[in-house]
Amino acid sequence: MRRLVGAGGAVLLAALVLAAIGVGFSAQSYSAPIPVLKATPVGTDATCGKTAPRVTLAIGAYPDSSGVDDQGRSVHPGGNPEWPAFGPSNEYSVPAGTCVTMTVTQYDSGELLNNAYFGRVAGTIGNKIHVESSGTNVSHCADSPGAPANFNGDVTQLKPCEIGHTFTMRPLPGVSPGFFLNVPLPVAGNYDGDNVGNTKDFPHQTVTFSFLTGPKGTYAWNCEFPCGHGVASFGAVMGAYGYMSGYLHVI
Amino acid sequence: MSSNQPHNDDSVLEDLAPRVDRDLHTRHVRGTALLWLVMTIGGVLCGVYLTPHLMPQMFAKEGRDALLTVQVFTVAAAPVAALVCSVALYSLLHTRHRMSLEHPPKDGKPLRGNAVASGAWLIVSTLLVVFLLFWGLAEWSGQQVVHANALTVNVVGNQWVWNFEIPAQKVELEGDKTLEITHPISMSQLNLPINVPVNFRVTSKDVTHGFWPVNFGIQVDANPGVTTLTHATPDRLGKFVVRCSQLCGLNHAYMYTEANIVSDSTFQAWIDGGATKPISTVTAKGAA
Repeated sequence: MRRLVGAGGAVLLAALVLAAIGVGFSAQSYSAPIPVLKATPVGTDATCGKTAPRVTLAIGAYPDSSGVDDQGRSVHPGGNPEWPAFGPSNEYSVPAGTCVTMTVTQYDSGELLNNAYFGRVAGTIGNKIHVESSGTNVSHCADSPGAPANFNGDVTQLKPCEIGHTFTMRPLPGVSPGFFLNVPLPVAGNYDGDNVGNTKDFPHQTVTFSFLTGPKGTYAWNCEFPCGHGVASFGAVMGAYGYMSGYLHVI
Repeated sequence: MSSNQPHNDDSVLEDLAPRVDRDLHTRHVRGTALLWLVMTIGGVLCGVYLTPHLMPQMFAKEGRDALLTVQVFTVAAAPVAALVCSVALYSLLHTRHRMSLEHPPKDGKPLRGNAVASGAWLIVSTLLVVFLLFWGLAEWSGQQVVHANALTVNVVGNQWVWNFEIPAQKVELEGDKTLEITHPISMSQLNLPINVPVNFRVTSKDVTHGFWPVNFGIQVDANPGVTTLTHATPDRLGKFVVRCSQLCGLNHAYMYTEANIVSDSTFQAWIDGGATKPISTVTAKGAA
């Protein structure tokens, strides 16, 4: 009897420990570190080529993840001042079957994109983005150092030396095969990489594009510009969740 | 005379002991051999009939060759695995000792070498390994062949997205047909025509990735600064997934894309249309 009780107690204890570990991992995995940014409905129109309800999302790409944006919102709570980040959140929520107009204000400088493929706009309506440049923005092109990188118009492709970050998104397995979105964000500020302002007092690029949401599900996005440290500049901030990567939830 | 002499029980037992040992030994060997035979047959049947169900449906001859390799290796390994398992299982079933502090188990007989068994094990293992080595090398060398008249596709791994480029080229197809690509095509999905040999030139822009078009049955590393060649000839229409097989960082789990195998007329129509639309929306000329 004593053996039975002992064995039963041991099994129960092991089950409790496993359950506690599971709950811990689950809570850590599924709780968003930053509140999800919900899209704002703006009515119904034909922005996406067909009449559909439209929503807007406005985010920024900032050089200082520890700072605040124009509206005083933290870019990334507890962020590292030497790491860039998308803010004020890295998780977004949009309704299914809608036209999403997204505005990304880019404040960060860049160096050189390592794969020219991500300089091409893909997956947006018309495979283009609209760029409004503000202040003096300079490219990093070796053949024309210091050349202006101000655009003010529609853009379908940027040179690898004209890019600060990218917003690149694809669905999680089984959600919407074939969906792929790539938006290169033009470089902001000068080529010394000292553009550390998070607000519109500093040179910036305002990028606007639209896309139609696919079926319900989660889409993963990340920056394809090598803006971290270490191997291929994809360490540090690029290897840490929540700064240059996140999710779009289509609900 | 001797029958009138009183029996000495101990001496009788000592006389009988070697025979009892031999009988017991024979019974154990037979039992183990029977178990080995059953498990070997099971392993061979699993290798032949179950393996294809555990592997993805193959879209190329290279994939079916890989499947055959898995089947042959499983069948070849079955007798060896069965021997190890049958000895272990038989020992567990027939020589276990129920725990009792009052009656601890007697020590067994010391183990002795058996030259025949050791020799047989060595020879059989060597032959098996050599056979598998030659089979594997033959399969591997077959994958290194670069087709002279094939569609070239540049594959680039990048944390954490695949992208593909088809350079401008002209490919002579069977039946005097020609596939002509007049300008380079970039794509995030791997779109290929059926029955056209494809040479993949695989590289990486950052860390090591693994180019794994699952249903082609091929997989090569994508190394930065190095171009690795591999090839496949799609021979089945449909779609499947291209994955990264090397743990490559934060979003490695999401580094996959879709491969579409379409008819050569649909592929040509997609090319002629600028290769900007999803290939699933393209209809070949003359198709209903």
